[in-house]
Amino acid sequence: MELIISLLTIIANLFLGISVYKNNPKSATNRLFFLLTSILVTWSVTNYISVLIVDPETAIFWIRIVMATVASMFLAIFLLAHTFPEEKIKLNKLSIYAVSAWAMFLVGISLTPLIFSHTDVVNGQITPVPGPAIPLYGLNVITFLIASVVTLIRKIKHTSGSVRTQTQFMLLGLSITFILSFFTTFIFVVVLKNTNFVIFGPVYSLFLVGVIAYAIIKHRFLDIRLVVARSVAYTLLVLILGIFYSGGLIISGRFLIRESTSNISVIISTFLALVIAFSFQPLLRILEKITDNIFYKDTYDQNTLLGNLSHIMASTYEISELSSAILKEIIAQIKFIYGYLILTKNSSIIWVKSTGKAKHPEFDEEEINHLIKSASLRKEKIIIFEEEVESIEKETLRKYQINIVLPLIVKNETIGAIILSEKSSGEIYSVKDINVLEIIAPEIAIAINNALSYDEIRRFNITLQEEVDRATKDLQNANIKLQELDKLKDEFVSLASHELRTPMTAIKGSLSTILEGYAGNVSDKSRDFLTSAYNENDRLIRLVNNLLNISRIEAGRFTFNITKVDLNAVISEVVDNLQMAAKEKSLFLKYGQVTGLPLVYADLDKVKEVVINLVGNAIKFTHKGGITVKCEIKDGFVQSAVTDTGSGISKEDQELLFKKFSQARGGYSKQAGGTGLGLYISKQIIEGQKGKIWLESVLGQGSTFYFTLPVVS
Amino acid sequence: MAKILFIEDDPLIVKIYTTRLTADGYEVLSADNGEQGLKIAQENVPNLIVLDIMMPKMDGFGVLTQLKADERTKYIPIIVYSNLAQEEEIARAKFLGANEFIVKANLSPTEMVEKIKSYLQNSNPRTQ
Repeated sequence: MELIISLLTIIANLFLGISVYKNNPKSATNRLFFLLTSILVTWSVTNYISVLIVDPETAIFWIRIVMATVASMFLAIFLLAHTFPEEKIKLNKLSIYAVSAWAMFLVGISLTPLIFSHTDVVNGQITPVPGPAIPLYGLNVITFLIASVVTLIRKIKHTSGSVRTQTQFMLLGLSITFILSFFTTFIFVVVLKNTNFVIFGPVYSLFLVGVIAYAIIKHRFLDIRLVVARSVAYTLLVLILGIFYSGGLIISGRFLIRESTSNISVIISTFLALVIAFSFQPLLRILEKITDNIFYKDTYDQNTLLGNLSHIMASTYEISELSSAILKEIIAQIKFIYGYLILTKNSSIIWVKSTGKAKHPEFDEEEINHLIKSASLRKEKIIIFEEEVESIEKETLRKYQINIVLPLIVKNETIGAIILSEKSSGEIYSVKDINVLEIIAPEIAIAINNALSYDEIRRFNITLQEEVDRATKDLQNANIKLQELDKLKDEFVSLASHELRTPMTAIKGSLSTILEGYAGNVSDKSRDFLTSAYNENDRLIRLVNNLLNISRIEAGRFTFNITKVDLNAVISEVVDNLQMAAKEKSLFLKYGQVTGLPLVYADLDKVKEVVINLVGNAIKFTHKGGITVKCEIKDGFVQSAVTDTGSGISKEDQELLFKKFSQARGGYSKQAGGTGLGLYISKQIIEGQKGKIWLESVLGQGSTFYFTLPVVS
Repeated sequence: MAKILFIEDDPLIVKIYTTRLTADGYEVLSADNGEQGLKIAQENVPNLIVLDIMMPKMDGFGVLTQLKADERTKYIPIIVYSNLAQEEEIARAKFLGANEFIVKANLSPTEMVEKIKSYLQNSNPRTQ
């Protein structure tokens, strides 16, 4: 039995010591740890031998060896506590020498009778008898121990993150080991004179080395608080029950045992056992509650976090404000040292918001991007440092001291990530933390995405407004210029036509005055020439008028002053005015007036122009017979027709007739002269008043020009 | 005898109409600029005014405005007789109170004389 326990202890110690040493041979912590395990192995070996020996003389020798080993062990523990978990020893050399010298002195003393003078055989067991220096030895051991504990506690107070966790682990291991050792090797041996449990001494050390090895190699898998809290709870439970039970037995022994039979003691024992059995569970629960309250002081309610986040996300649209608020809320609940909210787009970082004691983030875009991408491609959509195997990702995590990468994903598209450092307590992120983070990530992603869209729309609106303003201004300027140009053009056209008309008016007036005999008699020959001159001058006047009209049509400024027009009156007036011209060519000009012809919607002056044009043309191009004008009502329109008995117009000419500057090509146009604009303008005028204009003609039989205008309803 | 005032800077036009209208028994007054025309109109109160627009010193629109603002000349019919023929100008003249806008080139003197006579017969009963 003893052999197995010792062997196991030895093997375990050797294994842990060598593994840790191999893990990083250069680190002082690892070396010191190896030293400690070596001493523990020695302790186990010597301890086993000391227990095994039957000869008292030899036994005292081995017991002294054990004491010496233990003395050196405390030196190793102290040095380890001081260095742990750094790679270099921080104590100055003088202190190391002093402490080492003192420990060596203790080791030396341990080998003398001052600690254990000799052995007695008590109840067939070899029991060492303490020498005069044993209190000094104990005091020293306790001093080393306290120094180690104090060192560790100070370290826990002054560090954060993983160092703190590792240190907590070591303190835990140290405490467990020495509380147990204290019972078995001190209380039992010195107070109760029982060496039965001495063999277990080295076994307890496994707690220490195990925990330290774990802390060094794989330091963050375990929620240390839980371990500590539960350990404390169980230790207290055992203590309370132990005290109660032994207290009960002692008291009952004092008062009852004298006159009792074994029956009573059985009853008492049974009673106590029952009490213990029934009180075990409730007591455990109470203790757990108390320890939880102590150890989980900064715990948080995940519902509060989720509620607060929802509130933030529902009430904040501005991206900067939103990211800050989200980070602040998370840091308030899950207490990490610093955190970033990073937004990426097309593999580049477009936004970094930080919170906590943040160092200025000099993130390498490529590395961070790779990290975020890697996280978003995983099934669990999160990277946790502790769970990461050695990889490029882990290197990056270590470089920037990142513990959590939580990608923000909207509809399979990664828009960024929340990146968190280790927790300020140095603990690992608990399962609860991870769960909460996984729950909030999609919600945050959507909120951020919405904020981004909002931001984009807002910026787009601003840009758009600016664009519109600029374009409007440009247009206004252009419009002002155009208006100026238009005004200039109008003035030019107006003046030019005025200037052209003035001499023509003078010619017209003069010729007409001569022709009408106001300037004396005119010979027939002169009259012919003067009439030709008069007619050509008139043609020039029409040309100018038509050009003026064309320029207005082209400029889109051909406007109509629509009123209710009596077409009968218009046609009658024109026909009356042109009777003379018809008579000169010996043509008849008739208007078949219709009674009760309804009014039409038209521009009076312009309609008159059309009628003059059509009747004038007819007179011009007719040589025999005459012109008849008629009106009739057709489908809500008044349809007017100007029919002549001229030579008619060929089909191909008919199509050209209403075009600009075109005249029928037949010889008959030449003789009459014209501008080629009249019918084009007439068409514009009639169509501008919602009417139609067309002609029907048979070569050799004459033509009829029709136009319609809407009846006043 | 009906008095016709020509406010017209083209002497040839004035000469043509003076010849014709005098022959028909009308008294023709004339002015070769706006200011003078206005003055004559106010002093003589003619039965009809034929008013050019493009004139020195005061253009036809100015004269028209003043004539219509003066109680003495307010009711005299006015034929605006010009070679300006833009719609805006025609509309403006009519708005200012012209009875008619005649484009000089478009009517022969005979037609114009007919027009003048028709005004004298119809629209000024006080002088008939």
